Amino acid sequence: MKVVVDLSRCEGYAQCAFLAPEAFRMHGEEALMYDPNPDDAQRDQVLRAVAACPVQAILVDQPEARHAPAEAPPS
Amino acid sequence: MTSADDLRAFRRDGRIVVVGASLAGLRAAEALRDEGFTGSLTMIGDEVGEPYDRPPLSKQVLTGWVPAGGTTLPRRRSVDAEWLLGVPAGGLDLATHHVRLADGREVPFDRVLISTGVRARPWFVESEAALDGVFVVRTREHAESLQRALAAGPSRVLVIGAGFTGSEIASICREREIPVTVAEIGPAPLVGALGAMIGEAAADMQRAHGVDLRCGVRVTRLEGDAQGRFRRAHFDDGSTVDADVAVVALGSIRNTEWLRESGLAAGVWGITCDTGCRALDINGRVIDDVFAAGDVARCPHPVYGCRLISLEHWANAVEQAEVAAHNMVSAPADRWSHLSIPLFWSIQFGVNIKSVGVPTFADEVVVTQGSLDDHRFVTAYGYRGRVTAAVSFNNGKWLEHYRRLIETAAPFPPPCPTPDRPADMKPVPVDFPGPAVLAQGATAVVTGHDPGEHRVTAVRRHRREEGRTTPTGTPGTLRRIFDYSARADPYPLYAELRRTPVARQEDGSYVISTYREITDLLNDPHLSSDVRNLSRPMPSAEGQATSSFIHMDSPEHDRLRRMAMRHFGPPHTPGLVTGLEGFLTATVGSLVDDLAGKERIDVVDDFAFPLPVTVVCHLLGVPREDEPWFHLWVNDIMNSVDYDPETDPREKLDKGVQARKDLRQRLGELVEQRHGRPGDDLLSRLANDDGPDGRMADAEIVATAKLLLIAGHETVVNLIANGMLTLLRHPRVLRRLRDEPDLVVPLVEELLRYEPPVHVIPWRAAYSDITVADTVIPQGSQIMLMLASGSRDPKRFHDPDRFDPDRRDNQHLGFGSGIHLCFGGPLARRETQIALTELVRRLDRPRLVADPPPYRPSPVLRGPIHLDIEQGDG
Repeated sequence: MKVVVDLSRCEGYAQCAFLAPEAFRMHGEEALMYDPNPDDAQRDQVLRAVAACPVQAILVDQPEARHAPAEAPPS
Repeated sequence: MTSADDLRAFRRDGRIVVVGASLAGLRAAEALRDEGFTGSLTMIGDEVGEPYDRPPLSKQVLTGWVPAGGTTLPRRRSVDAEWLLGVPAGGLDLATHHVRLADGREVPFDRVLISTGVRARPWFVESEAALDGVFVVRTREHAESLQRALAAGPSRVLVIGAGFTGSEIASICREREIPVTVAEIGPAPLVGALGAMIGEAAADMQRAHGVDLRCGVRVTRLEGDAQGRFRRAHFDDGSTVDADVAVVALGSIRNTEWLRESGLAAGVWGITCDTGCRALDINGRVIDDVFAAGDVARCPHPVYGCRLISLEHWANAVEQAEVAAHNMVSAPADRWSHLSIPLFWSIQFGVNIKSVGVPTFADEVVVTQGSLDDHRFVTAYGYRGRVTAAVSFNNGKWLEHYRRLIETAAPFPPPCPTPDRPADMKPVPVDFPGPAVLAQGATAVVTGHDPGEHRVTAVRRHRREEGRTTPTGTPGTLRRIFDYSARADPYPLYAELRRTPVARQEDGSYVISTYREITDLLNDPHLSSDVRNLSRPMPSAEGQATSSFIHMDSPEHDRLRRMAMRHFGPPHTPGLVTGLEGFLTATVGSLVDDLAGKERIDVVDDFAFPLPVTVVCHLLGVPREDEPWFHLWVNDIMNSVDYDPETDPREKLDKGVQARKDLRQRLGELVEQRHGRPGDDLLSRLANDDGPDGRMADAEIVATAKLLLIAGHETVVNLIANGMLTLLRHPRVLRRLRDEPDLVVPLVEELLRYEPPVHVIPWRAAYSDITVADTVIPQGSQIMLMLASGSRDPKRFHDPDRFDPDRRDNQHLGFGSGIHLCFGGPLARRETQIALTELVRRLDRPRLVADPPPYRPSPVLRGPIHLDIEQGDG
């Protein structure tokens, strides 16, 4: 799955790092580092993190958004 | 045809071309489709592959954690576009409305968005830039090759330029234990962007992490060996450094050369636009069909004297893309202006650096909170007596407050002290180096004419603003809310209260009931949680006992919370909550087992009540044989919270006082026993920890443990009981939850908004005068925050009285906001998620016996005292 965090919104509450510690890690007290492409096995945890973010800064792929063939970049 | 017909036809079958397929281009394409544009959409990009995110390239990718190819941006929606990737645009013909590609192809458009961004400024000597081991970082290919070079274990890395990117790369080298030299032409790192004061703090930080930092030097030559490998750098002071890797981090160049013949006002600072992202031609005239967004756009900003500002900021790219996309498909009268206050962040040496506003638009700077030496602080920047920017090191939660100061042209220096202000709060000249140096590190460049001082209030587009009500007070409403008869449904009274967002009461206290004002206050550094800052003191149930961090302000609050967090959550103990999964499932499972076969169940007494104390006892390491006592004490304490001298027997209060004493004493004994006996439980770890903040005193450990037990108890019990009640009132949602267990995650968030366990923060104190909603709350005033009312505010939440587990953008106040955000929130969430899932899965056709159920007396911690349900055929 694809993840991006709007780090200008992020205030370092670390709720994501509690709930999905493999995909979201705190670097020091407040800075967040995250895996933008976590394994599908982490999907449940990542979705819990998305829902719990107090500033709603985490965006994940909408599953239906990428399927259309017209979207594929030319090889 | 009218222009409205033209617009309709354009929205239906027009042709939009987006040049630049990175963050801004992708977000604009998504926004165009969101806006209902159904015509053809063509995306032109010079890089092959899908749009990807760049900030991780100088961070997660270089540490080796995330592969360079793994930063593809998520899609908010399908954009149904034709992608022309791998070829840059070569020209723009405004007469014929064509984009010319570098390979000669011509792409026609009705409207075009330019988001071609920037590229890394290369080393100025081409032959030296081509040496093996010399890098820049802008694309994923760059990041991948640099990552490989770092992984090979170079003897030393030379970073040329100590702006944000250079400093981040130096930080990662140190994290990977690679020796690193940083060469900076200015007097300190980050100085071009943030000025001399923060430059000095950044220099300290780099040196403390073992960076060989050399400021005020220019690299004159990169020397290679016979094999063409970089070996040595020469400086203008005659010195040299031997290294295998050189990273050139000298800022960026805007990709505007392709527009040279177009007639657009495009140059080294970007493409000049109006605030609606519409491009100007070289004569300063707006061109209706050409728009620009992101790093390449240069827009006027009313808050900054309408001067032209170019920003290399992530959030700016996203916001401008949305404004540009909206304006491309809207009638002139419906167009938006891009007026957001700029936001920026950088992560280096374990510190989160954030900025709001434009720090380069300033003449003075002052530390307003925290301490430079600790690398935890906020500084405010001022220009001619008003606040124009703020920068925080590991204090990002306060920046939202400073954003409001900037938007309202608040006076500089900020006149009202905060509890964590430094002893010597004196503004000093901001001291930026000259423009030649500025070009290197600044990510916000202000250029152009200054038409004089403006006072501007920016209107935030994303928040629906309506007329403000002046504080008149709503006599009687609060009293009726506190009256027990309102317990089952206080929400209509909250709506009444919200008519006066900041309501002064007869006793001089203030009641705040609207979402925006509550969040503004909870994030206001002048709001104190320390009872001593009330001008009319309140009696404390704890007597002289040490209070916990919930009743403290920064910096003492921060220190204790940090020390407790070391053993409860990230960064030091990140796996604690996920590690409790098995225990939580088993505990909930055994409680539900006991309900099987019972026709009548009290969800509170039979299920919710025992759960949280069991969990916290497990966490603390309370011996099993003590647990029944802990349940009893917590019960007595919670009962005494509701004590009403007019109706309750005195015994209820006495029992609570005794229980607090007993609980404190037993916790104290347990802490004492744990000294010198390291273990995995929280009490042992707190009793034996010697972290960077020192060790917690025993009394502080006891206060913290007590906080977890009590705050973690009633809230979870209420959340589970309110949750079950809400589900039984919404049988379709209950059935859905049984079929789709994943629904529990957004459902619990919606519960925290719709039926939260904590309705009111009964008191906070104004440490100094606080301005909220154009009202000044005087120093020492008591402030009551009606959280549950804020979460039902129709100005913030659509259809707020509807329980909707599919609700998006659910930024509720269920756990508060700001530095005091619920400490145990993640645990409470998982307990409730697991509890509700199991109850719904295993109860047999549950039905409410009484609706509404009987409630506890408290209007603050609101929930049913019993929740009787029937199940099965009974």
